[in-house]
Amino acid sequence: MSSIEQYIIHPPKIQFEIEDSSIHIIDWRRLNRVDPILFLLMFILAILGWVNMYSASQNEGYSYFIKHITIFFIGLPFLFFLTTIDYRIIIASAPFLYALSLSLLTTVLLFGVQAKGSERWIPIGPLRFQPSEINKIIIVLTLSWYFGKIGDKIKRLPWYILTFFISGIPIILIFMQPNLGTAMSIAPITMIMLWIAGCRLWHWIATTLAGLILVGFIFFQVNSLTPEKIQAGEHPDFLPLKPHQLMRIYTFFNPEADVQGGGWQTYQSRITIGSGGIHGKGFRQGTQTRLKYLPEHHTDFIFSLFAEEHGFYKSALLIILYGLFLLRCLQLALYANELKGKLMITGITIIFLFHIFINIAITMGMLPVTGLPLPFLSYGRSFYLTCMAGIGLIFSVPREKSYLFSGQVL
Amino acid sequence: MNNNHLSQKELLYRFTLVIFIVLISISILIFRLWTIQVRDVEIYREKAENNRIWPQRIKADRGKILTRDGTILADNRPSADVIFVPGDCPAVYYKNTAETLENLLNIPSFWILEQIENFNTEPFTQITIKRDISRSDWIRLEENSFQLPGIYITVQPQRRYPLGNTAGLIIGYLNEITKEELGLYDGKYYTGDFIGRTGIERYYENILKGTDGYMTVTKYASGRPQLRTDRYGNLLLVRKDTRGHLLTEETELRQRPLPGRNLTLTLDIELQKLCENLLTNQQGAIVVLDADTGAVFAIASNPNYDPNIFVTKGKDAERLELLQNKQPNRMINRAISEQYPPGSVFKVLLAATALEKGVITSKTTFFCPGSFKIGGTGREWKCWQKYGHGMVTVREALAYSCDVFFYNVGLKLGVDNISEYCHKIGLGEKTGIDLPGEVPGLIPNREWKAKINAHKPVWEQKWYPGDTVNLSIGQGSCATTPLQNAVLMATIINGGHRIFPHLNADFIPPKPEEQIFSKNTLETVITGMRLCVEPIGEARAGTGKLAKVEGITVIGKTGSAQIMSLEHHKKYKTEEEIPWEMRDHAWFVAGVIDRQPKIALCVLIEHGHHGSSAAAPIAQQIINFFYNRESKKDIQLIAKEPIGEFDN
Repeated sequence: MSSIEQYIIHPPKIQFEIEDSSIHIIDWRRLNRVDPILFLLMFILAILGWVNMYSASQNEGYSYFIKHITIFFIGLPFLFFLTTIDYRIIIASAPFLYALSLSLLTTVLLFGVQAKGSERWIPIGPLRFQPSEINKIIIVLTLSWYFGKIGDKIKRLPWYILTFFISGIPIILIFMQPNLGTAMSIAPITMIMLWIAGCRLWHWIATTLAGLILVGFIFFQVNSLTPEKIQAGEHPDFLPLKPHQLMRIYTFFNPEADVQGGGWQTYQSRITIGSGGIHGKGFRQGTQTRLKYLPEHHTDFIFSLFAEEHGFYKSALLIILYGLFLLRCLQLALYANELKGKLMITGITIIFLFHIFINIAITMGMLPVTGLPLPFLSYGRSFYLTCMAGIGLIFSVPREKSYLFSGQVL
Repeated sequence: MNNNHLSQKELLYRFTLVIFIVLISISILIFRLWTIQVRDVEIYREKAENNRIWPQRIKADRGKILTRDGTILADNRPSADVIFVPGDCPAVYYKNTAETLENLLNIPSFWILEQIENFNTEPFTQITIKRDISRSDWIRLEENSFQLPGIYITVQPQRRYPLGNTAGLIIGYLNEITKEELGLYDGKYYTGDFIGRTGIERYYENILKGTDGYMTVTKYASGRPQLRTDRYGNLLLVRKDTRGHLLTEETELRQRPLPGRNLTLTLDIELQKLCENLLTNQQGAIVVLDADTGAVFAIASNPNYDPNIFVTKGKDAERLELLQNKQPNRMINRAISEQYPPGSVFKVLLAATALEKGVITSKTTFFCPGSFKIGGTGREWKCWQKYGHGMVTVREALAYSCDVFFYNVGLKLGVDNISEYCHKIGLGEKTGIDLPGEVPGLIPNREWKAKINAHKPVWEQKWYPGDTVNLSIGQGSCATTPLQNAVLMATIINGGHRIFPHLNADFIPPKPEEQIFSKNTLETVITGMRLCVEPIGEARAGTGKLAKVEGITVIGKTGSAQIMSLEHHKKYKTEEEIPWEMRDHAWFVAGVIDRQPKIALCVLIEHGHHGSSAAAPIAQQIINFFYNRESKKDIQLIAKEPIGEFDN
């Protein structure tokens, strides 16, 4: 009997996961694990987000701006709360969260609310909950738990392949919503976590190559269609995507061909960024945004607005700031005191990296429009809370003593 | 901690890859940002400017058309349009406003509400509710303006022709430009613009049109400019965007519109009116020229039309009827766009040419027995006077319109000389008058006959003396326009110079280069033409005696252009029995030589039978009016002025 079956038959008991029985599950003293540098970087990004949202929402009476600030201060206690919880309990409960998330994804598929032609929301009273956002974190937790459990067995092929089943089921469910961006974001998370977990090099390289070839094949297939055919509902047999999603992929290859349709967003976004120049048009002076040329300027294309108003230097600085943020996360991962902690931090970092890179690349016309928000800048409360939660989880991992601000108290 | 199966070294190595991925990602993003924002900044800046700034055209007023005495032939009247700006009306009043409008203007309220709904993202858009409302509607709207927030009345220029039918064919009309023409005049016109279609409006389109101005406006993504005008039609700058933000600094008037130049015509409008009245109930044309300068005093053509029906609302039925091309075609200016056989009028040219070439002298006589045969055999050409004129000189031949005399002269002269002088005067060619649609007419010659019969046997292509005989009295294939005949007449009385008829008073006629006919020639011809109108000494007056005006020396020449052979006419006992459309065209060309300005005129009455009876009296009335009218012009002008300016 393999150990994974054993776990399925005998679910792990939480008490066994915690070696020291004297540890409290929630302890406020863990707050000194909050890394000042990472927190500062996050706070700077959040303030930049507010300032930018102030400009972005001037057409809408600043309602988004107020909501954007509010969600940060709602998220902050949540962040500290997650920091005070022992992260091992969270990782140990990952299988249950995983099962819960699968059932939520199924629910949203069956009873979800239509938003922009895709099913993504569950209405709970006045709130609308987006399960696919929190799902990314749950995948990271589940994979951390899984890799932590199997240890060096990951070098063996069956255990390696099982990973793809764990992350594959949510991918398919999210893909069916259809939420192309989120579904795609799970793939790099899985790959990087497998890499850190210590899989064999050739396994990893073979999988990556296979994935790249698959993606290339899909692009080739989509590109062989015409916009008219796509609008008529035609799609490659193996790719049951909705017309608007196929159009997004298609317009990536032919952005100028369909300026008024699907390529409009990317085209206008490039103009918006480009017209900013080196020095920018000045705060709240962005003409493209104010005259409504740039669609989704407070959500997916918020970076275009920033680049238009603040110019190349400050935009590059923003990207570097994101880079420092990610590198600091990785640094914390490196100094985490055990593998599952490292894995969890790395996974969350990759979520951030994926969102940051894909979002900014989309605004600059390098990738098809998929609808991924930019952490701390985009308006989107579910995602904002997810980001805060992710940072809370990063903070909650204890670090080794050798490292300044190790946060090792207990 | 059994799960730390990786060594610290391997972990570092594995993390290095992830760090590397982060650094690569960041570098890619910054490089791409650099290419867009620094390297290609100019391209994107321009695209953004093109997005944002948009020149809003301000239409230039079309120039007026006047006569030299100041009578307005075409001007612009204000047309009141009702517009609605939803942003100036609170949303709760939309329904009320729409219902009030329905009561006042009879526009369905649901349509108005639909329009408001369509523009709900750009509340400061002008929605045109109704164009060209009547004055009473305007007053009613003004009275109810407190119930109609957001309703404005703007004023747009609309073409108007105050004189209606008078000179309508000369002025022409305007019409909305078509899609094909938009491509043709690339960039000069826009959809909905009016463009001259015929007459002066067409010929001087470039002068009358003016230059459009433009103001830069800020454009929203939907492409609708946010523009407003005050109630007098002046443009107000945009004050607010859809959320009420000031946008003033971006919108400034860049270039004022340059109104089209006013055009002054040489027309004598009273003479024009008289000419048109004289033609009432008969088809025909009258041309009156200044013989020295070529200035056109009147070009009348009947039937004609009122150009107003093309620019005024609610005249669709008339417009349709006009454009249906029914016969007789009312849109054709018969003075320039139709050609007729000149008939005996052509004898004037023949006489002058023969005298000039020395083929005959003023003393040369031919015997007219009433018919003519070439070489005494073959086909017989008849003189219109059955019993002949006896021995005639060129003077009598012109006065009594002896055909046989000119058959002889034509044969002696030869076709080449005739066509040479036709070319010198401008017969059979476009005169170059500043009106569109002029036809050249036709003076046959050897080349023409060879060309037209190219597919036929050689003997058909050859020019025969019989053809010359036909040409000598302006029959056969010969065709001229009334304007050309007037030009011929002007050449006779102005001392033998070619003239260039024109309507634009600013036109400076070119200096006469060559004297086509010598003084002696003209003297002889003029004597003959004078005898045609009035008796000289013992000689009785000729065919044009009905054109005689007391105290004025009128010279003239009648003409009856056959359209059917004489044999055909013999079928009918009297002239009245001949069906109207088979009767001859009646010509009369006349000139005045002892007054200034010398006028040359040509009267054509289609199927008028005889120039002497149908056309000559008309010429008499015109000449009489032109020189003997009382100077009541000024009084009339004062009475007319307020109507022209402030009506409607």
